[in-house]
Amino acid sequence: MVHLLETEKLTIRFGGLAAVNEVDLTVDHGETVGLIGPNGSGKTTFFNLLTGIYRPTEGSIRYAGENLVALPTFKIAKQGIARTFQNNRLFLNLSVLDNVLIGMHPHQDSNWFDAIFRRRYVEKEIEKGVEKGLELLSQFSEELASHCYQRAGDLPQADRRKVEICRALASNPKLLLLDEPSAGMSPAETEELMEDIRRVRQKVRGIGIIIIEHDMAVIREVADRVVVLNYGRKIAEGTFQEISSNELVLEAYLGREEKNAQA
Amino acid sequence: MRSRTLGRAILLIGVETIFFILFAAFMMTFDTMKIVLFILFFIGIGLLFTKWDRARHVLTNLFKELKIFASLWFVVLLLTVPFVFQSSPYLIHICVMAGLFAILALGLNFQLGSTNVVNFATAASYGIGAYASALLAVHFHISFWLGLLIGGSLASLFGLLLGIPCMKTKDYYLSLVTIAFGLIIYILLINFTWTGGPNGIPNIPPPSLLGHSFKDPIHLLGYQLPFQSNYYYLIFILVGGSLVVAHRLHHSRVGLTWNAIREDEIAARCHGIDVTWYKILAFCIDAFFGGVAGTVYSHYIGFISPENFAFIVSVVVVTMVILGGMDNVFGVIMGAILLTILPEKFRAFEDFRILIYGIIIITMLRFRPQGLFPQKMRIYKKNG
Amino acid sequence: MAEIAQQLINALLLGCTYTLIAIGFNLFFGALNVVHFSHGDVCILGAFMILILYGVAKWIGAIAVFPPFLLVPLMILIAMFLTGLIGTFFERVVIKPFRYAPLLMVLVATVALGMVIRETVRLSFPHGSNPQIFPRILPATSFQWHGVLLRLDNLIIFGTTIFLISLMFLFIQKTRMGAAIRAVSQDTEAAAMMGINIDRTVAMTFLIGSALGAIAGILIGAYNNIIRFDMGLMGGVKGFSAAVVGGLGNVYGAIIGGLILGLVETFAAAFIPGGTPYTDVFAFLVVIFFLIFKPSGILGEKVYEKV
Ligand SMILES: Nc1ncnc2c1ncn2[C@@H]1O[C@H](COP(=O)(O)OP(=O)(O)OP(=O)(O)O)[C@@H](O)[C@H]1O
Ligand SMILES: [Mg+2]
Repeated sequence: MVHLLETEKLTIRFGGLAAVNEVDLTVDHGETVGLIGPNGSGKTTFFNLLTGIYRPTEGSIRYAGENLVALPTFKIAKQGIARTFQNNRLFLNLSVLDNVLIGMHPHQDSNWFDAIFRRRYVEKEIEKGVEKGLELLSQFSEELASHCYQRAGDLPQADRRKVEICRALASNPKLLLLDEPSAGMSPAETEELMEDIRRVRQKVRGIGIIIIEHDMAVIREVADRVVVLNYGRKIAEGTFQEISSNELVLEAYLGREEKNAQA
Repeated sequence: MRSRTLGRAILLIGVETIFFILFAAFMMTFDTMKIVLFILFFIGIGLLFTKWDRARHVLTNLFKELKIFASLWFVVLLLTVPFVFQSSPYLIHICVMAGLFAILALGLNFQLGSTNVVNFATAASYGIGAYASALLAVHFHISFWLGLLIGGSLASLFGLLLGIPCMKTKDYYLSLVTIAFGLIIYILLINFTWTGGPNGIPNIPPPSLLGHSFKDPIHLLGYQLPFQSNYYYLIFILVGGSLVVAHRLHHSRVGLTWNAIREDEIAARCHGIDVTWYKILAFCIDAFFGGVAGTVYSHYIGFISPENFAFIVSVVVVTMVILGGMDNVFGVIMGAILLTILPEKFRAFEDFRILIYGIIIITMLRFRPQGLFPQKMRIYKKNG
Repeated sequence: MAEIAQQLINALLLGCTYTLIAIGFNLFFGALNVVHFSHGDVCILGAFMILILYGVAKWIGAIAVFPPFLLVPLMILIAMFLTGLIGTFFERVVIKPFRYAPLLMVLVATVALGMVIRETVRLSFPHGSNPQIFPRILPATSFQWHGVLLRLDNLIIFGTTIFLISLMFLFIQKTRMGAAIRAVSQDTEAAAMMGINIDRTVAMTFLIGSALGAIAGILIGAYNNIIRFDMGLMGGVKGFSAAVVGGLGNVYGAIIGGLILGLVETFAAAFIPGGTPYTDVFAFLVVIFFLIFKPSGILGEKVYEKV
């Protein structure tokens, strides 16, 4: 069977530093993979490779059987890979709804000519988008849907993360990349987030998710399989139980802490 | 219900007419002291309006509810301008220039305001439009109306050329490219012999429509309107058209995409936006507007030289966009009008004009970067 | 052969000017990640300083009393210092407020600042729109050497430039302040955490950059025998171009970039028939070529934008 995503020996070097080093990783349809590792282990860089922001030094990325390496970022996005960002990159001066509408860019098709001369067509498109956007938002929070004209930059952190996920989902992705979605959330909000992810998995059949998280509770709850990175290398892979008793993993995390304690 | 609407309509007509009369009176004032008083008065009204919430609400609601009616009456008032200024063609001339700059500013706004691409080559596309149509008219007797299209298209082609480097560069580098392009065009215009070199092109024929030359006065309803009125009405239509185009682009997928690029280019890419293409598009549309404005300018003045398209013109247009309010179509037009009319009113300080522009830019960016009229959130009609 | 040698000398001189301006661009970009679009105008202020100082010296009679080899270096030093101070002042007033604002703002603000500088100069000199005669501060002797005409003033200019640039490199490599400048340009936040006073370091950077730029302004004046209020616009764009060609942020790149531009312009003027009026066009085409095919410049490294 063809995996939804398959990377092989994926590597990128920044000068001497191999931020991601020969990482093999697969995601199947409908599967949620947790990607964990200490700070600076290359998780975000891995996402940047998948989305074409960085070009790999070596290795391949196959998505639905197709090679993604060397495709520009926007084309990769059009193929159905959507992501959120670790430090949240909403379009801050636009409204919540506009943020979500931009998420729909890949499968809208009106161009400048339509905008100027085919007003009806454009209005239809907007109308459909608004309807879909509001529906998406209200699934995550009625509150957000009713304040959809608020400036995104005025939202509290937790809401921003939600909008970011909505924006990513608005493109009907087949593969969703979440970079530390629970960062800066309270326990209650994290709980809600897990609920949201579960719901997305249920509603969007076959969606593959890679989720980077430092909160192990989230990983335990939502991930079918966990991949652990350390210094850019994959050091372990398996279910949450397997990982949590893996020597290498414990060392990677504890080793860090000891070093921190000494410093 | 009916009488209520009628009352509101009358109120609306009243408000608009009073403002129009104030504007006309201001334009016809030439005494510096009185001009200053006028300006203080306008600023006072502006402040009052921002502070006094109730009045603002009433008026904005009024305009929103009777939007079409309000715009219609506004159009009617603007159409009377040549009648009001019938005896002082100079004032009509100022209005024409304001309109030209409004077109330039609207064009630049697609880049500077919507997309955050700082383009310092407005003067170049303006110049290309002007020179192209002037040369065609002088040497090949091509009519102004065809020239308008050709001038716009050639400028647009230039915009495309200018936009190509933005595949690889952005920010400072892209601005450098635009400055360099602008200077290149200027140097070429000065040195080419077939463009008339530093002396430019004289005797550009005026347009004519249905046998009526734009050099002749208009006879209408027993009035004789000075020849500038021809251009006033032409510019009126062109600004109107540009306004509609700008407004429609803003409220479409294209405008939204430009905004996404402005806010965060990487996030935009990750949402499937072909940033390069949309930037090039902004370059082309901007240049088209510039080319159109240039064509009108050359045929209106009848004489062009490279000095009309120097770097400073680009900066002036940038000032207009920043002062008026980036990405606010109405604000940008206001910026253009203000910065055309005010310098004319303060002719005594002509020498300080550019210095003051510079100071305005720095002060605005520092203390009110959103401009006089900040951009507004898009509000979508509630459906069903 | 002699012709080419002669042109090479011209190219070298022009290159020196551009290098001096470009060093400023690179220093500022290193320190603050800004491009100070009005730097060219600040540089030309150096030339106007000389104009003023010369006038003052004449007025108080110093010209008649002191020999030129004492007076001229003194005037240049004062002009450098004053221009440096002005540059620092502009950083405080126009650039610093935008440190955390979107890049567009500081870009437009510095372009506007350039306008303000030019207009202020124009308005403060009598007949400011016209070119001003630049005083002859250097000896006008020249001599032949293997068929190449060497002008003494050019040799002095060239020697001074090399001396000053070396001095600046020494300063940056060997002193504490220099180390701070390097640290800030590597990583501002880390430098701040190490206890480096960022504001002072940035101010120092602008002092050095603008003072070196003043020399460039004086060179332009001495070479053309005139200065005009708006020469800084072209000078700034060329200096920035040189910095970009060499690799923006890389101080050594300024030298390479400056020389390349100097070569392109001189040789375009000398060897392309009818090319003289279009030298700037050729220079810009080279820059645009670089921007498209090697945006990071000759010495610049490819940077990955952190996401
Ligand atoms: N653009 C870049 N240039 C140079 N080095 C980089 C770049 N991006 C990342 N790195 C380096 O690559 C390594 C991995 O960084 P990355 O951001 O992927 O870690 P991470 O696993 O996401 O960490 P965290 O948990 O803190 O988010 C780090 O050492 C980082 O400094
Ligand atoms: Mg990370």
